Amino acid sequence: MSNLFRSKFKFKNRVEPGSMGLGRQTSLIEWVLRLFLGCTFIFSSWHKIVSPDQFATIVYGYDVFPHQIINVLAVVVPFVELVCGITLITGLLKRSGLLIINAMLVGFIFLISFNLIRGHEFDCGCFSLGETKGVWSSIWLLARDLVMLGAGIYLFRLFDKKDRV
Amino acid sequence: MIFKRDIIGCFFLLIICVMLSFGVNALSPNGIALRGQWNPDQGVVMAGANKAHAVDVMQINNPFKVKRLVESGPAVVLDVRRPDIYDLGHIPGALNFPLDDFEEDEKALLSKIKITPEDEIIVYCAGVTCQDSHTFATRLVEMGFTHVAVYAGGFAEWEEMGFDVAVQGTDP
Repeated sequence: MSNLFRSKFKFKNRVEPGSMGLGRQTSLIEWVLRLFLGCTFIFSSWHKIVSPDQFATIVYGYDVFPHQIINVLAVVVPFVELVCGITLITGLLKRSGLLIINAMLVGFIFLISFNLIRGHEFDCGCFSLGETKGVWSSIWLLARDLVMLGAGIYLFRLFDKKDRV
Repeated sequence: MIFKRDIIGCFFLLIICVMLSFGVNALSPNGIALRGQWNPDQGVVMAGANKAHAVDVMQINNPFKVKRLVESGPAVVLDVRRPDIYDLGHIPGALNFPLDDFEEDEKALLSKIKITPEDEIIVYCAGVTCQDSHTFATRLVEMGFTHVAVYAGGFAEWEEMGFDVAVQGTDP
């Protein structure tokens, strides 16, 4: 009996009537999270791809990056968001896509926290160009990114769990 | 748990992203240069268009030169900030034409602010971090206006230099 055949039957034998609902629920949660994170990143990348000049100004406004790399970041980052969002929705290289998304979220959280601590006002440029600035706006951004990072980490654990079965 | 294949996948995705982004940026009419002008001491900070779509707009960094041009008369000065901000203070004699109202129909523009392509035009906005003046000037150049310049320091520098400021109703 081949390994593949055995593993298929092993899976079927391990499913107990009580856990069937739980498995379906997990799959549903996984799908919801993949759609949520994937769509969010695709949606947020769009205006940056259309107006890279404005996004570059926003990157400059963060006052963190060396001037030499601002334009390159403004050109590349939106496409990283777009491609990773697509991987989550299509399932193609979804683990790698999610890893990059989580890494980006950690980066955003550091950036926002850093500017919040030093009292530097900035335009986030997350979903539209020219969002309102201010401390409360930054705190809201931070909370939003933390929630998304939580969802991203949970989703990665779900992928792991699925791969182990 | 992160596997080796996940890391390889990340590199693969990043390479795709870099290739895709540079390709799209090179072909897009909205593409930007790979190095922008982000030093406020050297003029308006901006990403700059990529070479294929770049429009050269003259930039004046010397506030005294702008003052001289304003006082000597022939130059038309355009303030492209919002009307409510313009009313609070602007360069004397400057006409307000917010970027948002920009009408690419040349006739409409000419009739509204009464300028001709031969006029010497100076465009300014809030300061070096404001790009509206550059966007406005670029559109004028594309429309055939030949003597267009951007005052890089904008109103912030003008005010800082202690030059005369006109408020609503005090224009000469």
